[in-house]
Amino acid sequence: MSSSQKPTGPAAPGEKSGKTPGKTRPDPVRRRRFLQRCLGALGGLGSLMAVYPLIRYIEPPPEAEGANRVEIDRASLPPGTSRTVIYRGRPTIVVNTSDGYIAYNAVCPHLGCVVKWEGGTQSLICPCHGGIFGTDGSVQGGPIPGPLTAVELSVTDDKIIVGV
Amino acid sequence: MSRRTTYRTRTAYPARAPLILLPLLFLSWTTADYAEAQQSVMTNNCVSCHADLDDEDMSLPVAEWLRSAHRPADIYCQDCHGGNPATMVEDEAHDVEMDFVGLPDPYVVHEMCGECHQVQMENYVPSPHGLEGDFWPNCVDCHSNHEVIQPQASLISIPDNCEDCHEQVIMDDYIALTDRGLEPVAEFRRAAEEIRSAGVPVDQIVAQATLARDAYIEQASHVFVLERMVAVVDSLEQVYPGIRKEVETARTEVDTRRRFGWMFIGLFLVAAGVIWLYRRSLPDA
Amino acid sequence: MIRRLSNEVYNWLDDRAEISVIIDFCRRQLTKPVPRHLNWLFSFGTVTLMFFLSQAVSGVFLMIYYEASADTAYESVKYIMEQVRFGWLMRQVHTYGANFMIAFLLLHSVRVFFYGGYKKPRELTWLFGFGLLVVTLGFGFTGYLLPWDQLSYWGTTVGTEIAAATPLIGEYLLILMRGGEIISDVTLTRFFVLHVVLLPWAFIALVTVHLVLIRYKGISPLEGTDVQEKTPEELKKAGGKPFYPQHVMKEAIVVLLVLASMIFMILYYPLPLHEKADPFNTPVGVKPEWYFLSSYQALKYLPKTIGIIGSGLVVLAICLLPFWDRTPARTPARRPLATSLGILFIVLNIALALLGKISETEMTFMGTRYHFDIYGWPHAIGTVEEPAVLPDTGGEGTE
Repeated sequence: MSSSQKPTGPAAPGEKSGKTPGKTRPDPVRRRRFLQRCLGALGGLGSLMAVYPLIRYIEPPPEAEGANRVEIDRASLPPGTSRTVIYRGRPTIVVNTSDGYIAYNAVCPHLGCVVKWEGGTQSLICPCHGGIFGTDGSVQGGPIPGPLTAVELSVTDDKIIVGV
Repeated sequence: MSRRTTYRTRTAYPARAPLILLPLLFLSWTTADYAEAQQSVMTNNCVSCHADLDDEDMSLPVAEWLRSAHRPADIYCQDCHGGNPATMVEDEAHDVEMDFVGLPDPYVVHEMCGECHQVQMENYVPSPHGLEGDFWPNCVDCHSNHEVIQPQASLISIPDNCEDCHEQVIMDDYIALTDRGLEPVAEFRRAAEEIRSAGVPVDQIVAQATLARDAYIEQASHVFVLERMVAVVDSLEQVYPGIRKEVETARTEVDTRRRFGWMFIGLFLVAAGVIWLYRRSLPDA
Repeated sequence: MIRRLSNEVYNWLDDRAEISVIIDFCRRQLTKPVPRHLNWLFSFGTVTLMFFLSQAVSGVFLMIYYEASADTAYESVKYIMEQVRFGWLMRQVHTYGANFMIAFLLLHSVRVFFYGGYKKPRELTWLFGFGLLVVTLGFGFTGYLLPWDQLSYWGTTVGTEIAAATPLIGEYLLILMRGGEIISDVTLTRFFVLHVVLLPWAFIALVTVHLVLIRYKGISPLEGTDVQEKTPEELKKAGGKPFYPQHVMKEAIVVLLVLASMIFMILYYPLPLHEKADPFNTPVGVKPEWYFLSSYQALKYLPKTIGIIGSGLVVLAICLLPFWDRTPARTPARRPLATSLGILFIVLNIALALLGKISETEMTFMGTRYHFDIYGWPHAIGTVEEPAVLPDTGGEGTE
């Protein structure tokens, strides 16, 4: 379509579009520079608009937060044993201690290993660098910067509910 | 009680091939045997034989069944009529030994349908239409036998049918009540399917709509007692506004996405325009 | 300031890697004049290439969340569609992009055919282009299965079934493609590998040669092969314009318009994800994608072996087109036989695809309901005006 519309030779353009140099139109070089700038701006805007969904896309989706409520059958967790569940996307350890149920975010504050329950010493230990935590989450040994974070826990007749 | 034996006769409609297909008539040899073609989809000799019978009474059921919900559900002729669909020999196909019954006994129709439509049967049997009414009308009286359709207003209020026993006013109430109970469910599901393809999650909406529909079917459908139906529909109407709101939220999300997309469309069009201008401003080489 | 910095960087690089040589070469190639007859139709190839890049980007992003196994594939696609932010966009761009890419590739080959662009000395360009067509259709075919929904599962089932008709090795070929008797986890994995590893690299290799050949031999002229082709200088004198910026701008406009229309389609006619694949439940009227529909439909009319050999010969004929069509003329008007055969072929394909489209469906036409059998042939099954009901059907003969 354009090829028919385009002027056929160097002589033709003047009559139709009136944009050739020498007419009253602005200087074509400046006009072109202006259009080039416009294109640059549009290109920049376009790239920003294209990059936005891409970045949002690789962000963890809301669902990846994981279940914010985990139920465990009380029968499956006899006294002295533990169970690690995924709660809000993080490993969470639930222990049936002699003093009742406790639940902690199982990620060790030191270097991110997952702690284990040791029934014999009634403590949570980190297998990586020998961190030791008491049943209250406090640091009892090892190069640990701080205590474990407690996780909300409630108990019904037959279930332990992690989360609200 | 009387049951009529008359048929409403139908006009025979010849196959009118759309005109655009005429140039391809040379291919018609391939379609000489329609039945054979059908067999590749459904290997059923009842269907293939009866489809070609000249007697409308004998071929129309196939045509009706073809467009019914029973076809995709794989409910075939023999499931109600018995007989042997695997043979091409007429006598063998209609062998009584193969449980061929021809016309099913109207007093057991609800049991046949009830094999799949159990809830409906359980509601129907003790209802005024069931035991109380000597199974009149039965399933196929309202849903038709081969086409298997929803009873519609036009159908239910056909004179000399429901009105044998019911006054028109009651019928209108009944239809209005059914609509009130089930229309929103259909509406939610339609909306959900539309929204789903745009990628907005609607499983919640569909689940709730299905729950409402199941509640209606379990408690109100086929009980044929107006008061019980009113109670069920009233309780469902407590639920519907909540679902409707979720549908609206999902719709808003679709609109947001469309606005976002239009920004791109606009940008592309403007850019195309600017490039067009730029190209025109180039000196001719 | 910025200019000075970039000059510094340029000089530093030039001292070490002599990039000025490369840049000069690229500039010369880019500004090489193209013949005057280049119109909008000559941008379809670029549109196809742009879609390949877009498919590559969106494909990589989809792979971030996609899990190629029969148990998880469907769920992961649903997850992308419904949970991942802008996942809907990513998937729609990829799905729609696939359809657009194939459409524009077909348009591109039709354009090349009618302009005689495959003739001497550009036979190789055609051959590599043909390879690209095969690879792209391979992309379409393998990618179609990946969402693992009912349509893709059964579409692939009937699609691979075609291979079984190949004489002698048909059954073996089928097993090889599917990795078993039926489409399964194994099939999904091998299709996935083809789709994301083998085919992309094959495409990149082929398209590189294709583009180099086009640059090297220049755009095909309109004159016959018996006329000496113009050198770039002669082209310039005859009014040819530089490839960049004149023609590139034209292509950019087409690309932007096509992208805009694709986004419009995505927003208002999104391609749905159907129900999860169920190997025990075949839906009614299964068909392959539109670009395989004409050959799929053609195979229905022919005995299996003849059909598969016939379509194989047709494909071979298209592939070897430059070697048997050696007439010198290039413009359509100068070669009426080739032009009419080409038009006939296109019309036939469209007709077959339409027949395939309506086959095994039902439609109401002037008040009569028709069922179209697998050959696309209509059979009246009833009327619509007369409500298909039945006052008295319940009780015939039960007095």
